[in-house]
Amino acid sequence: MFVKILKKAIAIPLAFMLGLGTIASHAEDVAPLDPPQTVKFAYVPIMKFASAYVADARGLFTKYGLNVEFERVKSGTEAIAFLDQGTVDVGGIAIVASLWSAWSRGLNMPIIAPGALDPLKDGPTVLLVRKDLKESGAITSVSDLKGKRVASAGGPGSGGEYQISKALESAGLTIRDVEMINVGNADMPAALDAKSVDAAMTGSPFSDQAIKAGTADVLAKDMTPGLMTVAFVASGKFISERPEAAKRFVLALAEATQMMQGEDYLSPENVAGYLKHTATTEEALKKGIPVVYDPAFKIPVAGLADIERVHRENGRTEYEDPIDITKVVNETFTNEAAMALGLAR
Amino acid sequence: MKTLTATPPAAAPSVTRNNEADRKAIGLYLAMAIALNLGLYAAGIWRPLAGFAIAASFILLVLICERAGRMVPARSRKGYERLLAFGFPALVLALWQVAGDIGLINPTWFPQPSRILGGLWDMIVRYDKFSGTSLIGRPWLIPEYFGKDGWHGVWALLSESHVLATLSRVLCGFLLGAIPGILLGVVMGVNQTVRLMLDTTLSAIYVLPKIAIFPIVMLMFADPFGEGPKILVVALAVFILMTINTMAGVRGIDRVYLMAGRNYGANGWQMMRHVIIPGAMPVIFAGLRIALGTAMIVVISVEFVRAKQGVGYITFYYWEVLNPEKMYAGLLVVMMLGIFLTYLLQWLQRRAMPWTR
Repeated sequence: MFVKILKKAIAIPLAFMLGLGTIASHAEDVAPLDPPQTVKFAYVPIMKFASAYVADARGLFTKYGLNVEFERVKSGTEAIAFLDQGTVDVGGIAIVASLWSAWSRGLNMPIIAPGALDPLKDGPTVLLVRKDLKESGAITSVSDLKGKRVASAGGPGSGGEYQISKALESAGLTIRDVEMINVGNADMPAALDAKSVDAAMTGSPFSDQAIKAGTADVLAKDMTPGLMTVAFVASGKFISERPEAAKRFVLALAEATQMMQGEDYLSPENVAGYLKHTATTEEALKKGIPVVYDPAFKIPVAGLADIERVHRENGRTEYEDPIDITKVVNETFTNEAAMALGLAR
Repeated sequence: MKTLTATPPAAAPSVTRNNEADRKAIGLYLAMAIALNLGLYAAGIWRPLAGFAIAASFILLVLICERAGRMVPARSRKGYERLLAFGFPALVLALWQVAGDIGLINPTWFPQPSRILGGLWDMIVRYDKFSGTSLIGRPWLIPEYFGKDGWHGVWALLSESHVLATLSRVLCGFLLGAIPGILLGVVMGVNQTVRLMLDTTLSAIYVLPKIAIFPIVMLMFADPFGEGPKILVVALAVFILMTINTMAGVRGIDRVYLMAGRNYGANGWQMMRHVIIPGAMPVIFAGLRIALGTAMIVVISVEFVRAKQGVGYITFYYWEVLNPEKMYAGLLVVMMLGIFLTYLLQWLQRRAMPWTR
């Protein structure tokens, strides 16, 4: 389903991207806030929130009268507490088990804008296997991972665990069939080299390091093609008390998304934004397969249900019945942004 | 006995007058506390001034207890002190409960004690079929498992316990660190050369956060995710603390005792057994108490990041999956373990140092 959505999104004519002039004229109808308002944005510093970095680097937030304060957080759970208390207005966070628990507890913090989508092909996150195990024939496919030690970053209920669950699911296994080990991404190459783990789910540049060192090989990739595993989540207090600020925040993200399509993705202004807000390097940006920013700026609701199901089936949630996805998504602002920018959807 | 407790007739009116004054003062302080809080609440400024209201109420409560303490007869003094020691935390818990119930504090992130206890109960009785663990290892099933598989069954049951996993790491690390730490501390205390050689190095390692060197410790083991690194990092923390404390204890022994020992013709071993070790014992036990607390802190921190079982793991797990009640329950278990281990050490201290009873 989400693959279809993505294909459709990518298939939107080039003219759409070239029509930035039209977009700008529509967007000018939205007046900047006067006086400017401060928006606190807590984010996990990864490339999947790059639309916010570009909006910052290109002055789009300022253009709409917003003074956006970027605050880094280590995990989504950390941001959830601040979002519920209203001390943070918007969170750029992964859709992890804790977020589903928060929603099931009735916390008001809907998704108001989409994060990046995983690439359809050759995505940066791969499931690595130790080369010696692959060459000896001990592990040649995902189904051979049964009983083996598999490393993921983030621990129980994390995005890494979800990705591993999806890989294992393709072989009829679950995370209970392997020994899950929580290892930081930066420590993955060393863990594989020391033979402390048998397989590891990690992304570039750490996967490249392990492959280049000759200690690991790719076992599986593209576990979740076209899926949105992160999102912009807003505090209920923010959208109810300052909807005009929320509207402009999302509008700036939508406009930034238009400026990240095709070759513009690596334009100097955008790269400056990426480098400012993440630990990535220019070389890694140029070498890597970019994540996808849907120019239609739609929140892909269908894929969310799959994330919820996997975490629930993994026993990471206290509740047992599926959550109504439509209740955790607020499309008001993305629809308004699409209208203001004249986006084809 | 009768004459001791009898009140001198001349003092009776004065005592009555004092009691009367204390009663009036208690009434006044109580009225002030109620008026202050109700006044702020009625004016709608209690919440912004909550810090001030709580501090002022606490001061008034202290004054009330001071006055009440004066009225308590000597024979009831112990009971009164116990009431203060346990009553105050109970009052705080009751206020926390009420504040959560009426929405003064956010119960999602600061769940009421009743909900935390509910979470704790659920953790005790629940067996997590996914991870194959439970909080205390379901001891009520021991007869059944013993009947089925004998001691092997009992061990299998208890090894699912988070509490036992943490306790075993703490106790193993504590023993592995404390014994050599005390021995080296004694040597450093009596031998200047060894002291000069090691003191600076130990002082430097002492200030290192042990969780920061945990990745390095992991590299020393063939199985970095096994029990070895966790126990070693606890042992290291305890070792450094005990060495420094024991050395200070030995060096702090009054020279008079050392001279007396020598004058009595004690040889090296006798000096050690009858003068140095007993003389340093109070400081050693004070060090053991701090080291035990440190061992708990280190093991919980390590379990937060690198464990699949243990109280630290389960506490952080419930934070990761957003179940604050159970996260608080995990912290409660950590505190209870701290109390248990401290009492255990005090019991040991009374055994080892009978002269301090």
